[in-house]
Amino acid sequence: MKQNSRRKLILSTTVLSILATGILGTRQLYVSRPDYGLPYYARFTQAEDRWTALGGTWEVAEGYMRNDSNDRGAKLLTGLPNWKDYVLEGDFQLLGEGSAGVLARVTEAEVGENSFKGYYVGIRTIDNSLDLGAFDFAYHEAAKVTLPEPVRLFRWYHVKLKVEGCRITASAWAEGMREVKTAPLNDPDCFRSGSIGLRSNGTGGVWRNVSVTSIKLAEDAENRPAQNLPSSDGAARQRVVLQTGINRSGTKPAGEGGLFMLTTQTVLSLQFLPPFGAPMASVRGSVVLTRPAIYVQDSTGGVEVQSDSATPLKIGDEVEVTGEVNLDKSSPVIRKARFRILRETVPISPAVATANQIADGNLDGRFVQVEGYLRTISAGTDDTITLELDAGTQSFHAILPPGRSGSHLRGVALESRLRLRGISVVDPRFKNATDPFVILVRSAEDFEVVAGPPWWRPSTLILASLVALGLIFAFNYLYLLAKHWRLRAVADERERLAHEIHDTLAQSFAGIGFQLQAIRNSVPGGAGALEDQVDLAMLMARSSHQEARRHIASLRPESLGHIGLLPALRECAERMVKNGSVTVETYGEDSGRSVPPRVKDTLYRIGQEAIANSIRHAQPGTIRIRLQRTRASICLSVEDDGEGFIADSNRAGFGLLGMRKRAESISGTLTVKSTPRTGTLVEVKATVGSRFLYWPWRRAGLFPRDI
Amino acid sequence: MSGKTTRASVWTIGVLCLIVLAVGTHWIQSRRAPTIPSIAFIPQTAGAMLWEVEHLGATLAADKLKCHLYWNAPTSETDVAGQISLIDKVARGTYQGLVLAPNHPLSILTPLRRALASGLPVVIVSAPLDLPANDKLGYIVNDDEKMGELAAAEVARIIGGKGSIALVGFARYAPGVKSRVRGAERFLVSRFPKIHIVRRSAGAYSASRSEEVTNSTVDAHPELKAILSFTATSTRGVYTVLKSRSLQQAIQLVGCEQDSDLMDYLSKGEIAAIVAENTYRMGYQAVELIAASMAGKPLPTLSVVPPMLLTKGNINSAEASLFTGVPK
Repeated sequence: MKQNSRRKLILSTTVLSILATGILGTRQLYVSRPDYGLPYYARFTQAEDRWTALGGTWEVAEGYMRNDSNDRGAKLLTGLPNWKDYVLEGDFQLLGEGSAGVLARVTEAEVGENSFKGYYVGIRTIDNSLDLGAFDFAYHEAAKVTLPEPVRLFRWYHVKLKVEGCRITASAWAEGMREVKTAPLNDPDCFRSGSIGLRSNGTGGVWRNVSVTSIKLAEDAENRPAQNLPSSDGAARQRVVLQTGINRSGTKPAGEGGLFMLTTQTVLSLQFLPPFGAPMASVRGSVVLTRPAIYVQDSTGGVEVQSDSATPLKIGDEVEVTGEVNLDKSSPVIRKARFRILRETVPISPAVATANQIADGNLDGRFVQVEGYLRTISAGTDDTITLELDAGTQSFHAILPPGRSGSHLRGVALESRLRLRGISVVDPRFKNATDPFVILVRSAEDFEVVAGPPWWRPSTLILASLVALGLIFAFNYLYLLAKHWRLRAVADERERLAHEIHDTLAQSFAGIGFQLQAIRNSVPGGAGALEDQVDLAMLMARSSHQEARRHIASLRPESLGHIGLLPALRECAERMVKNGSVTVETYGEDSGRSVPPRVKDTLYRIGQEAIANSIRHAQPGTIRIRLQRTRASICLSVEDDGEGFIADSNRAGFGLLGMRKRAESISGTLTVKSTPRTGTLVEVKATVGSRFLYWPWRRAGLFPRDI
Repeated sequence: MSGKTTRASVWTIGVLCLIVLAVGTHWIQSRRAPTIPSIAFIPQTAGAMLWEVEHLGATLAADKLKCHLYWNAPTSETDVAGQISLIDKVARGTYQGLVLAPNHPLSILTPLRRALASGLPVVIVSAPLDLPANDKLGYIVNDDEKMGELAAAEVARIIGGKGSIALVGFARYAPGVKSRVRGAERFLVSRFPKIHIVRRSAGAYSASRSEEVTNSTVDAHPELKAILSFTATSTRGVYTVLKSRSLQQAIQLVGCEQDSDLMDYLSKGEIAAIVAENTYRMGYQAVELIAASMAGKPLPTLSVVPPMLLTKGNINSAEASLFTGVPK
């Protein structure tokens, strides 16, 4: 490679690097602006799910975000950490006794009731108040104002949280209820920036119309007429909340007779009821699943509960269920159930179990956590997603709910180790006949990737092999390239030396010869001794000139690159015997097979030395140069018909030793055959490697096609 | 590239080829069907009369059909992991068929699916599973509902068609036991409405559990006239309590599933009756079906084998010997 090309390459690489760094840096600066991404309007659609849940069972439904869990401090976060001053607004409903609201400037969020930093405003049922406060892994209430009306469940409340510098203000209103504002929170050590979120505590909630706007935009909007909240009895509520067949007060419903007078029993004991006649039974437990079926769990087990009417149960609700027990299947089912909510409690924690333990059936209907290797992902019925997993000797399926599961599964590779939380069910209605059980996962947050696929998968191994092969080839290429450059540098240096000798020594010898000739011509006749001395000096000058020319010839390897090894040697020999009587004959064919430059150069040097030795010492009439190339080897011989000598390796001269060393450097062998008066044969054989290994490089132009 | 490298490459490829050849030959050899067909039989457990009689039937059928019979089982009917391990071993082996009496209707499904996927014809004996039958999967099951009916009828006969009884030996995930319970209760409800079931309790595969529930039942219901037990294990537990409290005459015991010690108690009159499974016939038929499947015939969907009521009066009969394995 020419110096210029290298310089251009380095220069262009540097320019590109600087350019890329500049673009990335500019983009980073742009993205980290405090108002980047604002205004933001949450659409709550499956396709645009950029929320991260920390606790709860969050699902999107027709423009609403819903948490059906009584989890303490369930959070759902979105936005950017650099959002600084903004107004966060949204509507929400409370689904039970507890609190719910919105979060601003959230940072360092983790799963846990108070595990984050940020500001919160929400409504709570315990004292019918609007609360503003700060979380710093503990809650610090800053301001509280009692609402003009008692907090009603399933009613839409609109809340606004404004964070501007270190001044935080909040307000809320509802249809038919005047707006109330909290006292401002002035915190000199305030949290400066952070994302936004939704939060519920001890109950579930439904959110909609959540937006984040810059302060200016919000102030402009304030001057416009306010938008009315739809009635809580409107269509939105009907879609989200259905309240039938339930007694939420905890008292006996009117007209139910003795339905709730039955003595409660454990879930486990249901199996000992008479198998005929649909016996009535009553159990108490915590709701562990609401969709696609309702499951209630007590300390002895879990049971499916079927009600003729939809019920607004939440995960964590402690209920008393009364109904007819059906024992036709392997698991009892309570049908025609009536519910009485006893209290809203924190959801039950999962029982950690292996697939083998769950396959035993004793955890049927219970909330469990199990791990397995993901084998397949397929679409199930009703927009659900079905995962097939293997764990030890067992295989099972998991059914993920519709909604956000799809986006959560994006990027999860097959063979990954997953941790799932859900209800283990052996009912054939949900599971394949070949599976011991199925896991009904409650929400998209109830599965996580424990570990990616193992690296020794066939696809990974193939990829790794290909990469390794590529690296080997690349290394080999670079090695050969470096070698090529080194040889080129040596050749360049030799050429420089040849030019130096030509321009200095050779020219001087020529000049000396010319001057001596002039002296010889001016010497008068009869000056015998002087004439002889001048003639001798002229002879020496001529000899030195010829020697210099030979050196120039031997140091100029450029002929190799253009006319091949055999023509180069012929040219070299002819140069050496110029104006002499020695005949040079060459034999061999240019097969077109390439020879590594190192081998070629070495052969050239050996041939050159052999020719020079022959001319210098053997006084030959003919010099024959042969070159034979086979698939795996190359053989060069230089033969003369000169005086010859007694070939003795112990008495080999410096030139012969040099040739032998050169031959060894290319793993070749040098043979010298000579006897007095029969001429001399110098033969060198060398192996050349498989074509395969240097084929790609030949295409790249590293090796000339001719020899 | 030098000649040395080329030679090394050739040697490496040669050695790799030899390794592949050796492994391939070994694999082909290991997969090749042996000259004598081999059938694997995995019962719930071994050493109990119920399964030894089945072993006898299977062995006689294998001898007749000139098949090799591999017989092995976990040491307990609750050792599900042990049975799974055996199924996997058979699926990896060179057997031409598998007869299985599952220890658990759910846990066994995945390994069974693996066995079927490896091409083995499988016959399930004793009690059915959720898996539907097909050409490669057949069932030979005990008529468990009939078993429950026979036991209930004997209880009703002994107590004169009225009085309090208890049911012991429920198991949530044992479809056979559930069928027995259903058969017994259906019979009693429809034929003997004056018989009152005072308690239904677990203990199908735990003698100590059945002892515990028997004790509490007897304490709570001194009017109890009989106990119907649905498995050999629960029968053993009930018998132990009744004997220790000298209630064998006051409370009659009717059990399900035969075993050596229970037969002994029956012959002494300490147990009123045992309803026995015809495991001999199940074992014999299962091996015959596998052999037929090996000959290319599809497996029948379901074959139901009737049980027999054994009492002190008929325990030594020729018919009973087929159930107890005691030659006459």
